[in-house]
Amino acid sequence: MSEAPAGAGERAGPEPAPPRALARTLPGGVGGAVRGGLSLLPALAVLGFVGLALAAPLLAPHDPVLPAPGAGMLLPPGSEGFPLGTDSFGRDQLSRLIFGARPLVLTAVLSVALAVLAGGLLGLAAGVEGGPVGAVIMRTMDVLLSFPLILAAILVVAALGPGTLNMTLAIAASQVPVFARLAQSLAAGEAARDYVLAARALGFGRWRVMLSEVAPNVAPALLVQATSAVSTAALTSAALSYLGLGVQPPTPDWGYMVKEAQEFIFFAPEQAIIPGALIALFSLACAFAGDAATARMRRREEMR
Amino acid sequence: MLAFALRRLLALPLLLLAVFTLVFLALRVLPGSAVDTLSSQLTSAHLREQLVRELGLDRSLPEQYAITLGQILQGDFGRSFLTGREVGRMLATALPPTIELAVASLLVMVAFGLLTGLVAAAAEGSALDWGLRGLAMVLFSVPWFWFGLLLVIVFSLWLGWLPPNGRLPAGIDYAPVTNFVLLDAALTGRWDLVGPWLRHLTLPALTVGLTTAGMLTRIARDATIATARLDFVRTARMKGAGGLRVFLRHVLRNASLGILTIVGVQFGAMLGGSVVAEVTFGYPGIGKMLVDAVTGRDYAAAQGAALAIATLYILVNLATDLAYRAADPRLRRA
Repeated sequence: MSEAPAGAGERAGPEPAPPRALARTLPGGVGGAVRGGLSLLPALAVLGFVGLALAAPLLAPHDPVLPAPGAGMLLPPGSEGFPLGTDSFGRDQLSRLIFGARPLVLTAVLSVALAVLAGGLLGLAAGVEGGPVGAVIMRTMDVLLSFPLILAAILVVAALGPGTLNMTLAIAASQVPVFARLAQSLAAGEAARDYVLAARALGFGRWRVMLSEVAPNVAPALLVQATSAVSTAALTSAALSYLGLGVQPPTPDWGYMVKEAQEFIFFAPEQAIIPGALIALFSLACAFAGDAATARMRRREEMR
Repeated sequence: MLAFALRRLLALPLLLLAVFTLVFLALRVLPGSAVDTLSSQLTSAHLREQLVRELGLDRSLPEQYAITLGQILQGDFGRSFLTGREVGRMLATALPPTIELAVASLLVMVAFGLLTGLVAAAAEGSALDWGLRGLAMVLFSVPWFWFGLLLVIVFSLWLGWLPPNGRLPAGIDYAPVTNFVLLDAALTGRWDLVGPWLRHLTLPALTVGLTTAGMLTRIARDATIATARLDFVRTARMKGAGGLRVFLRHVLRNASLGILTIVGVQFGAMLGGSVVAEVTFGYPGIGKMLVDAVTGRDYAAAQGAALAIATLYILVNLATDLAYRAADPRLRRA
């Protein structure tokens, strides 16, 4: 889970190994080109998933919700007209897989965006203002963090009822403390700097200081953390849907597809394997992209 | 050290109170709360009224809060709407399997994470290091339930070695005393329970343990490499200490602090993973109880299960913090 990696990684961050350091000082060259290409790969994969979600109606050969006319139930992969077979309702598995990208990508990205906004604002307020307001905000965040991420999400779903939108809110709420903490620690550091003092001396209001002075300096780190957080959010989204608390049938969703296929696991294991593998690939691509973004940010800071 | 431990222990009731408040509010105040949905399913006005009175919903919110808190402090968690059983009893039945699963997963996680992390550190920069780091990344990016099903496909479907679900074979003659199988086996001399129990525990524990081990691999590797670069390690080598001795007494001992922290943090991820794994494997623990309760809008059971999980999590975090202090003499003195 992503509660720890950023901080823990920093604490234990090793010095760069000699050969790498050498490669870094020599821009270009074969190694550099390969590494540059490799570090772009996860970002491209993420874009691929987004593209799949957007273009689903163009790509899917059949309707993802209605049973294909004349198709049998649980046809094996390789059946004529149904390259990946059909599910237990006689729906085209390939079309369901293509449309299944939508809820996962949407809920993961949207929930993290909401969490960055809400957590970022709370953290900024706590960091810039400090005092009792800051203390109340941060202690509340501590209590929220004393829940395992998925338990918090399950509780919010319990309160709001299952569904795609409620699940998005639940995941966002469970991630808010992560961003609030990060924003608070960064903003507290910025608040002591001269430019903030200058802005205050010029008579800028607290909101202006917070949003137009401090926020731009805090945002990059938040966005880098957000890239990794999408990976966790995707896993939480898939898990909630798998538990029956997220995306509701008949909307095709990879997590729920695994749940449905579990009944036939001894009969048609590929129906559970493929959607799960797609969830893993998306989450992995986001995690690698987040790592690459973190490394890039650190390198930039070192150069400063 | 003692002052720190005392302070943390004194803060514990406050933290638990805060957690209770959050759970209470989540289940009752938010729009479309569990209670609304629950009572809307009852067609008879009479039944609804009875339920509302039974749950104390005709009282004001602060009153409800005080009453519920008072009952829980006396060990009364209410009655499950779905099963009709006392939630306290359900918790007593569901907690032991979850603790068994957590301990088994922890063993898997620590064994696998440490081994891969230390090997990767020893082979720093090699293809092996690269591969192990990639594996770690994959392990913490796979969905828990999917990984569990893959294990079922391989070990139950293809190889037929291990049972795909449950905690003990159906129809086994077992009357729980503590519901901890090992403890009961010792108390009642039923050692024949242990074999089937371990066979059922293996796949869920591998699922939760391995999917949370990736982070530990990473941290153990980085911490070991960072420590090995420090001056005192070089000094020890210069004084002629052997490779293994330097590694065990100097490097590992100092790197263990960072590793210990991450084990505590990962326990939270593990509890989350076990909620899902318990559902996947039909394993009768607290996570399955929570999901069943939330799905069935059984809010007394949901409240009890959520409180139990959060309490477990908080206690483990506290234990990790204390262990961390105890292991680091610099912090002990501070």
